[in-house]
Amino acid sequence: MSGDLSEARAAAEEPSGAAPRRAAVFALLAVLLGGSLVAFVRDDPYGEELWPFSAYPMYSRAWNKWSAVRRRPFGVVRGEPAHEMPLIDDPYLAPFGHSRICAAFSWIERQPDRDRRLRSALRDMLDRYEDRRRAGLHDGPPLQAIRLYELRFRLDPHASTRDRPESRRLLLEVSTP
Amino acid sequence: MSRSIRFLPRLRGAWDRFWFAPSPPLNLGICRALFYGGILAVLVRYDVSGFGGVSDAFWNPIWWFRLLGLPKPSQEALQAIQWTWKLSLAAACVGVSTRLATAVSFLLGTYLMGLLYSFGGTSHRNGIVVFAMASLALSRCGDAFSLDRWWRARRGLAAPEPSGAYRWPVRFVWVAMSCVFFEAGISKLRHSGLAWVTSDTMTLLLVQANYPLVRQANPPWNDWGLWLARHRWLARGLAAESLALETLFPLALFSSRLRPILVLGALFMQLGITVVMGPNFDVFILTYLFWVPWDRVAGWIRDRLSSRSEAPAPRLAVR
Repeated sequence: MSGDLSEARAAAEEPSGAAPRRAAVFALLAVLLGGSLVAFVRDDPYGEELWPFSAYPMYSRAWNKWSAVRRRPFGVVRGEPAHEMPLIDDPYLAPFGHSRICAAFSWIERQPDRDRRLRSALRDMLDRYEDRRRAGLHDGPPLQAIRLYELRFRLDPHASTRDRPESRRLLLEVSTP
Repeated sequence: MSRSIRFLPRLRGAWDRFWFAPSPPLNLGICRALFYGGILAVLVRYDVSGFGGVSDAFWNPIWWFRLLGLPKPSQEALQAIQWTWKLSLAAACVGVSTRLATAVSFLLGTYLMGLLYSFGGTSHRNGIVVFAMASLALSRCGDAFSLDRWWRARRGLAAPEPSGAYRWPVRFVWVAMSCVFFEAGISKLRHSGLAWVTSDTMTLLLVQANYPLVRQANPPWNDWGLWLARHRWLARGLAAESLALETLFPLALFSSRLRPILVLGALFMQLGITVVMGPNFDVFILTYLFWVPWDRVAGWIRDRLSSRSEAPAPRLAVR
């Protein structure tokens, strides 16, 4: 114990040039702990998080349902309206990645003006996809439209239904002019 | 009453020792070099400037962007900001004008990462990096293992002595990591209780990761998650282990025996999530560097090298 105290005393008696800036340290600590506490108190798995503070609610809900419903964009290949490809690869979605575009669509769907936003977002995706394709930044086929589907999957532990949604419903389509 | 009064100085001593017990500058210097070098290596090819050109339909500024009234920037402005940031990361890594470089890294890095989250949700891999950069920006992390130090040595200035100034930034990152894991664990208990372990939650997370149109993150490295999902007791064991690691992680701050178990356990948990579920923690993983006693590692390497050079030259064995 005496050793502990002497270490602490030594720390307190350091020359001023090397003395730790205690006030700054404690201010930083107060920001971290205060922000974390606020994030913890208002922890809402589906609400806005207080980035960079967070209660880390991701995956905090218990699940029991062996089904999933997702909204996903599909590209319609130019000249082949029946040929659709899921737009889930990052190069097709840049600067968004798959994860960020999912989060962005999920936020848009909760907005009061979601129809206008969704149409505008899909149009933007289509324009960027085509701009990047023409610039040689990905090797996807030319698209004439993007369709947003609601997909319903029945899950199984072998993932045998991974490419076969139980049902799919067209929500919106935007085409090149 | 008197017992609590006697306890206070002990508590204060322990608090001071935790944050400010003298430490050599080398440990913090190596942490700085590896941390900024790691961020640069992970993000050097990542281009955020494209966000300047996306539709306003995606623009969802996070709380402090709204508070400060920060607008959606132009593509050109973002390009300039991200290049300045990458230069500051490189300067902070090698330790040139370290004070300025770490301050710029913190300010621009926080802005750019916050901007990313203004275009779609919140990810959990970058928040911790903001706190690590803040602690380094306020610290004297350029006093060792840096070009600044090399330059000072050439001018005949003595190497700095061990000080608490080299300990607190490392300890701050420890505390920030503990907050991250603890809150994640408590959030699970709060929203689901032990059902998070006893239900099919982990099984379903593993299965969903193998559905390209269902998962919300990167693809997993392989389909081992499906094998785990078919053994529910194993998936539930993993859920229990994750919850225990997250909730108990703050003990790593105080117990040197539990520290390696908890820190390595959390590291392997995150690497395991990347392998079987997909979400990657890239820059988050760099904060584990702060748990390594680099000064001791450097001393061990020095000893090995010097003992090798002092050893007599091996004689040729002639039969």
